[in-house]
Amino acid sequence: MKKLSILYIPIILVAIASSCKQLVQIDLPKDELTTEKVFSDSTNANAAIVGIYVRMQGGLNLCSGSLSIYPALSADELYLASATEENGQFFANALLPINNTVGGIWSTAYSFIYDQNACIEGITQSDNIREDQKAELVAEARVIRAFLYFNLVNLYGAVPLVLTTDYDHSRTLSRMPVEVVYDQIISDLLYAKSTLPLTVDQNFRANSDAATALLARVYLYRGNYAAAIEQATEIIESGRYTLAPTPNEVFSAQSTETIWNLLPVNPARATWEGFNFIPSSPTRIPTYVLSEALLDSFDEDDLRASQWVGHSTVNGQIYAYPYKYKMRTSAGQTNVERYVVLRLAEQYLIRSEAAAEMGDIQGSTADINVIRIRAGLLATADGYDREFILNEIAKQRRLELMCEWGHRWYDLKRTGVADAVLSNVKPNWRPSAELFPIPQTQINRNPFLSQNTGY
Amino acid sequence: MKNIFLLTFLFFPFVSIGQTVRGYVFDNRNEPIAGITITLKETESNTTTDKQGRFAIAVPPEGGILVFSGIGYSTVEVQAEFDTELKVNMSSERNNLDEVQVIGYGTTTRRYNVGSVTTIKAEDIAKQPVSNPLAALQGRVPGLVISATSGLPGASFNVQVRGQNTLSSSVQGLGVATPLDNPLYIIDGVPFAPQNGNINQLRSIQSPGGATVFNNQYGGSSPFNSINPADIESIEVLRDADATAIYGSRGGNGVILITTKRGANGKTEFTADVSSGVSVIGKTIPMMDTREYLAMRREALANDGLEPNLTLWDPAYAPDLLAFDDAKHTDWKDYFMGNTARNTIANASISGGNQYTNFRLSAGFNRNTYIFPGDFSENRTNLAVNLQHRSVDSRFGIDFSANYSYTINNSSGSPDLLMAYRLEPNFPDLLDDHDNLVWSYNGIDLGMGINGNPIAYLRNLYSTENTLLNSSLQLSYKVSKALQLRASLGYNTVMGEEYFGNPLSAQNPHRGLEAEATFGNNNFGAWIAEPQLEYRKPVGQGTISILIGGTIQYSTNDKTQITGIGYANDDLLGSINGASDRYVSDGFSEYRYAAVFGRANYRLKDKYILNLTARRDGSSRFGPGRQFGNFGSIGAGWLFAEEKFISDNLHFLTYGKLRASYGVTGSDAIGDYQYIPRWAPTTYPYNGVVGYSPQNHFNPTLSWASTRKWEAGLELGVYQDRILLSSAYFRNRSGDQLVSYYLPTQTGFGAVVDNWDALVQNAGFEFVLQTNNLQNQHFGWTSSFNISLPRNELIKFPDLETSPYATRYVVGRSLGTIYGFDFAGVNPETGLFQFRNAQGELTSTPVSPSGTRFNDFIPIGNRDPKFYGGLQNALRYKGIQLDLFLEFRKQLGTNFLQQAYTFTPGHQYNVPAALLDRWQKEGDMKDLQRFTASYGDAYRTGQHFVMSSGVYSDASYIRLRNLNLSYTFGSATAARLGLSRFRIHAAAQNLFTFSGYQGNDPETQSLYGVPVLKTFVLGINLTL
Repeated sequence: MKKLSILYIPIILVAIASSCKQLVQIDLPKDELTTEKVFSDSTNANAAIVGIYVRMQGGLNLCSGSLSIYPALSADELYLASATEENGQFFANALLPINNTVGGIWSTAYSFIYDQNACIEGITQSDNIREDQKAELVAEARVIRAFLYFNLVNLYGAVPLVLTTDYDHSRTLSRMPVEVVYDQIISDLLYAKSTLPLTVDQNFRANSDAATALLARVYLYRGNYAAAIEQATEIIESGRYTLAPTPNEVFSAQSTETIWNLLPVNPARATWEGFNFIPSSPTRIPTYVLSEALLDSFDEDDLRASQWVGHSTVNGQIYAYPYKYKMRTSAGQTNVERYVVLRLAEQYLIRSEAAAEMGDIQGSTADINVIRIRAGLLATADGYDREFILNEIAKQRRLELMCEWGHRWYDLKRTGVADAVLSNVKPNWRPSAELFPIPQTQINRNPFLSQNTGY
Repeated sequence: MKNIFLLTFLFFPFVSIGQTVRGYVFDNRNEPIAGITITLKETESNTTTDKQGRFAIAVPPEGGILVFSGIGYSTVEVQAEFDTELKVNMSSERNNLDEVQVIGYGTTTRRYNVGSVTTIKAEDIAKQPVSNPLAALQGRVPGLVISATSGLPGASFNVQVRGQNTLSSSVQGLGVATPLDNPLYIIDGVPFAPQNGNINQLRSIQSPGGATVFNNQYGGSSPFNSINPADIESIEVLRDADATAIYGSRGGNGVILITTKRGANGKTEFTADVSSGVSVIGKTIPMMDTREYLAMRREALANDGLEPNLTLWDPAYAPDLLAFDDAKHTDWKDYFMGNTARNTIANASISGGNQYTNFRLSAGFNRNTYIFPGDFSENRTNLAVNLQHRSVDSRFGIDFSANYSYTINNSSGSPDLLMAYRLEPNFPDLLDDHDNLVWSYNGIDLGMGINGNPIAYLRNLYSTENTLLNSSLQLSYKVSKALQLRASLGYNTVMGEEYFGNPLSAQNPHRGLEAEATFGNNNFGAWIAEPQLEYRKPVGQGTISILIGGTIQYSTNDKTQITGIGYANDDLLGSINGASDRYVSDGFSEYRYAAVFGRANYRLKDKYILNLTARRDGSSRFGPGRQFGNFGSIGAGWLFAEEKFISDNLHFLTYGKLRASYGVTGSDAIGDYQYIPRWAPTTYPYNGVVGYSPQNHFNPTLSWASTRKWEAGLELGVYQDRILLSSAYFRNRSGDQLVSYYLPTQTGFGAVVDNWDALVQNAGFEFVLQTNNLQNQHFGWTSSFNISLPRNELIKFPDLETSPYATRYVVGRSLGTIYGFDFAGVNPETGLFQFRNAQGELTSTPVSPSGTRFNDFIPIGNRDPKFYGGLQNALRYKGIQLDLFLEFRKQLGTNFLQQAYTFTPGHQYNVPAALLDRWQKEGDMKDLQRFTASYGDAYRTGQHFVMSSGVYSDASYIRLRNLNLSYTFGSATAARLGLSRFRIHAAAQNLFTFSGYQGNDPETQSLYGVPVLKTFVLGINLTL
């Protein structure tokens, strides 16, 4: 017995030593997949693309409402009725580079961009997906990437242009001039436009029309008016979209003017925007109150003033709030709204502005009247001059696109009037506040990143 | 001290020996003790024991009390008995070099240990009325820094052995490097499954998250709170290569071994200890009263050229000035944190056995309430069992231990509660006559304000229930005199259940009424099997011992979280069923670890010691081809006092040892699956399709971090070891840094787990001086002093300039260095904070670092303790015992101004009264700038100030960590009560703190946090 036990020892030890490799093998995590498996076929690759839509709607972020709130505070659309230091900085145009919301918008945008780059790389390298499927999935990712970069350049100015998942390369990228970023945006959108199918019934995913509509906007912003008219016309005359009959129906699930929208994913939320803008009861003060300047610019019979502005009355005082989305939550009810990213009305406004810039006052007037009439206003008569019609376009953009994806903030800046307009209404206004600061944490972590002036 | 009066009577065949009492004295290891003085109390006649520990003393026929005393041993009194041989067990006092020291896979003694190990014994733990064993170690171990994350019951502790080895992964603050490198924790041979990670998943007042304002990013619920300090026999802290290399890859940051109590040979003994007491918050810095607060607000608005008004979004919105009652004053700090918390500690155990079988069963209960109003408490129930058995021929042995504990904690799930006392001092009453929350006052919607109604935070429900089971089984078989086979098997599980409920009745109606509840599970499990073979044989003039073993370890963690919202009624919040919508998520991870290890020790003539260890480790945390690593150490010791030429010349020197060790240890502490590029399914589907989203950067090349440690030590004992000095110099260098390496988020993630070729050095001196100042029959006085002087330095960091750490670290400086603006007071003209810029000019608009340039940032200092340690004094007079333990630490820390200025003073919330010493008018020379209520220049300079040298100041302290006074009744009194021992005791924890710190507590350094509490308890201890 004694001899036998001694013999066991080396056997046990040898067994341990030789089976070490097996002893430290673990299964892949039960709740996760490896990149290889994700891109093993088109169904799974499609799920990787779908992932970004879920993330876009998973919480309040730059793709689910942040851009309707914070730039609107920085501009002249909203008052902040319940301030914290973080959002108070937006309202006061006194952002600090350590502001967490500014940092969050930046980081979330790049995180979403990483997702798209990872999908583009994974799909391109996959051996098991048909080439045409590959091209479509890549094109969809490129629309989303372009959309994110479009918002980044408009919020922060020059930004690093990251087109790879290789962190060793991307970690030291410096900020690229706005034109270069726009070139990439245009290239992504052109590729997507020509590659993606026209799936109007699938407008909850970025399709060909989404690329076209975004291109129209990008060309307008870049001053390429002919191209803007061309793209906007393509959408307007496609026959696939018509303006919703009343403002009330624009953001509904059945809206006929939606080019691209996102499906709310959180079962308890309708849209995040509705949740943030609508007070918890009609007797509560909303957190974000529509500014007098905005309310005053509505004409008397403007349907948007009655249908897109909500009111609550507290202690005899009336507070107005954005009411484009009607549902605060969807708890206990059917969600009848979608989060609209791109819609037909903007295409009319784009074409109207581009036409005016090119001297086609008549065409411009026709388009702006489409917007006016839907808002219950009378058509503007022909024969006004360029300046008048541009002013009218600016006003209609302000009203039609109020508190929607930061349009007002972007418009003030791109038309060069931000300083003139905001210095009147914002006591702490400085021209350098037009650009948000690059988050300080990011500057600390990337020695090649510079700060915007004034911060 | 437990064993002071522990007597063992062993009945021998009846031999009449008349009036001479004979007997034999032995120590805890059953070794005879020579030189013990035996005094007959009545006549003072005495004798001493011989080399076999035997004695004989004449005693008058009527009997008497024999007093056994000896240097290094606790004094014992025994009733003389004539008819039996007395067997007297004496426990060693603290200075005993031959007491057992637990080391990796074995035991040794201080005398022959060549590694760096400190033992904290049960008696020192028992003196402290703490519920977490980590708290009992504070200040007692050289090289070990333990800091509480808060004074809340159940809160976690930061633990670090010999400094920070890795680049910081902490994101908070600028240049703030907080301790991260946790040592390895092993309980009865089984790695503690959760280690020192926080067991909670949800936020609570214990775990406020990363917000800078709480200055408590590591706060959470400590898994060690599940372990009853009263069940611990000893805690060993292993530091150098010799001691830790046997743990190979896991030993890089030191090892903490916890050994639970075992049954002792002898008659069955029942012990009970019950104590009860209170805890209070102690001194905190006062906030402004209503008059001061209102003056500040008026001044702030006036400074900004604003007239107070009631337009919600106006910068001059001031309901506190216009609508609240000027005459009202409430000390909200007192209201929220001024309550007295109650503590109850109760422990009972039964133990006994004979030479073959020993057992111990114990049960414990511990309850701590909170200083907050409401029904918050932490309650723990423990059960522990230990069984030891050996066969009659002593060949076969079995040792089984199991610990079970159940802890339930009820508190608030709203960390904002910690800031509740920022409330304006004239804020209206928070509750109406029906105890409902007040949300409206004098036409003001209170929910719109920054503070809201903080009672809402109190009424958020939070609970955590932790169940711990730790069991270990050791089997041994002596094949021959030289060879022993052992197998250690262990299983450890900690199951955490958490609950957060946000009832409708506690909600700010403005923010939206949506009742919500979250249910979380977080389960850790680990099993381990370690076959070992030990061979011990005299070779030449020495003894060789060889240990060979293997480890297979498997750990798992799984968690689930279910959130329900849309409850129609608060009464249903305790169940998921009442929710209209639910989200569920889960997570799993597995860890496998395998190793072979060996140790060879040769001790020649009890003077020369050589110790070699080696370990080959494999870890599932690394990718194929990179899983295995080799670690090892060499240690040597020379007991020079045993040399004839020394002992002949230096008679006073009774002990002298020189020791040195060198070795390589490692770390795989990165979390599981990091080398795999992972995608996780999304929480929600999108149009019916579940999406995937990427989880990490792909890095397949991860491998072991390694720490090269060397150490040299000198230990001296003089005057029969009454004075023992132990000194050590160590130098640890950590390379192949395995860190969660910062990345700018433009890469997609904020970090990547990677090996980084930076080299971090921790070096320093550690001294322990133990003295047995006085020891006689009535009076005893021992002291123990330890001090550590560490120094951290970044030795090498290739490509630092292009790395994300370019303006965070500097080669040649400590990782704990803080960089910030150079604060230069307040500009007397503008009243704004000013700073000295890089050109030496004063400016209120300093430039933050960018690129590789620090711009106007300077190194402010470093947060590593300069030195730290403790001083223990134990005094005994007859039955009275007084223990005093002082902990001290010299360090730089953040003062209250950092958090006070994170929110700008002058806005609508209260601030410390100390801020009244501010600039008011041109020409004022002050250190604090003018108040402001808006977001102008003063707001910006305030935010610069938070990043400047102005918010760092000395946070050194000397704390009377523990004061314990006890009285042990004489054995006659005890006997009258039917007891063999009866003791009453009073203890105070954190009674006094001597510190020039500007703020609440130099240990937690948090203004909006709960400082370490003062605790007072009274208790009784009895043994049947």
